[in-house]
Amino acid sequence: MTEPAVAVAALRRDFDERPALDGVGFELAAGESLVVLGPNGAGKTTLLRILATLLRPSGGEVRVLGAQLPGEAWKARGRIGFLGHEPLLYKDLSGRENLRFHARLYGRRGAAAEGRIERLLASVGMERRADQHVAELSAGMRQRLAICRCVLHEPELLLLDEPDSNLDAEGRELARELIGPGEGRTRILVTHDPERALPEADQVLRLGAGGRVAVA
Amino acid sequence: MTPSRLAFAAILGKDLRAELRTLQSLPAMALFAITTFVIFRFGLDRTSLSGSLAAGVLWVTVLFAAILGINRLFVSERAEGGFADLGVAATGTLISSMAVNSRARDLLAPLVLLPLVVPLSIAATGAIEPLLALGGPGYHRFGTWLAVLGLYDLIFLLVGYAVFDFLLED
Repeated sequence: MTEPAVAVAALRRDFDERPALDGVGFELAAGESLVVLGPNGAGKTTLLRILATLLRPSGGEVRVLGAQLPGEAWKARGRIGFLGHEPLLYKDLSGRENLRFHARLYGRRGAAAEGRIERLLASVGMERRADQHVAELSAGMRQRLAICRCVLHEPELLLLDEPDSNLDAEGRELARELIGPGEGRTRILVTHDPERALPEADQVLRLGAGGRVAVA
Repeated sequence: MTPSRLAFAAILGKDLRAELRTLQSLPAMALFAITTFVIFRFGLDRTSLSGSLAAGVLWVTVLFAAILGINRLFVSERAEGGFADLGVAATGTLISSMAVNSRARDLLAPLVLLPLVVPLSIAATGAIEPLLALGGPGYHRFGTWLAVLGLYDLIFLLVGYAVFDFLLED
């Protein structure tokens, strides 16, 4: 039997004794999409940050791409694409310089890396603005660059926290090509827009108050 | 180039490019160094220094100026959310990443870092003292002090590697 891309069981995360996640569990096969829904404060972002190896679970079992977290986080990190609330871009560098920097962090450089950067910039319509400093760009343009950063290293798992935020209609359609369902992408998507996300979901996880699973 | 060296070169290049473009730390560090030299000039009432005194003055100035830069570097990294793999120096990296996660971030880095770099500054001063000796440079115990510096840096690299995950968490 093939191992799931993500397997979570009885996951708990406390912040100063206050539970942000409590008893969360699911399994996601490679190539599937999981949509996470829930009100503000339900622990959706906390869940993504744990799966992205940026937070340690307080209890429970978490396996991501075959790596047991948090002990084997180093095995999974380079294979995950994380798109959070912050674009993780340096404001004093241009968009192209930011992407070049991130490519090098993943051990990619030279013509192949440059080619991929140019293709990604073109696919989100940012090729003409890529030499502007990030500080001069609008929130939507930063989000387009952040999407490029997220998929730059061809990750096996995409963790997407409200990826459409700040994007206009055109931006959402362009982003869909890179981070939407299809092409065998394994995705966990946190969203407040169930109408748009549910049709493309293989599984849905609804979190309620205190990070408990409301309806699996 | 191995992936970790490539990542190190990328981070160093990024920090240098951002600093040269914005000049947020270098002018403050230079001004601090000049001020320190002026204070030492009048405090010691000497126009020239040599040997251990010269080495001490040099390293005190470098150390305090470096703290300005290290704090600035990590607060900026934290603000832009992009804490990455390596920093500039093992000891400073570890302490500064502790500090930026603390509420007393401006105070903690100097308070924790300074006692920890005392052995480092003793070894650095010991290594450089014969080089600044009156009558020409010498190399007495230069290798020994250099080995102490290397060992101390190695210890902090290993400690940093072991605890970095904990420090980077919210």
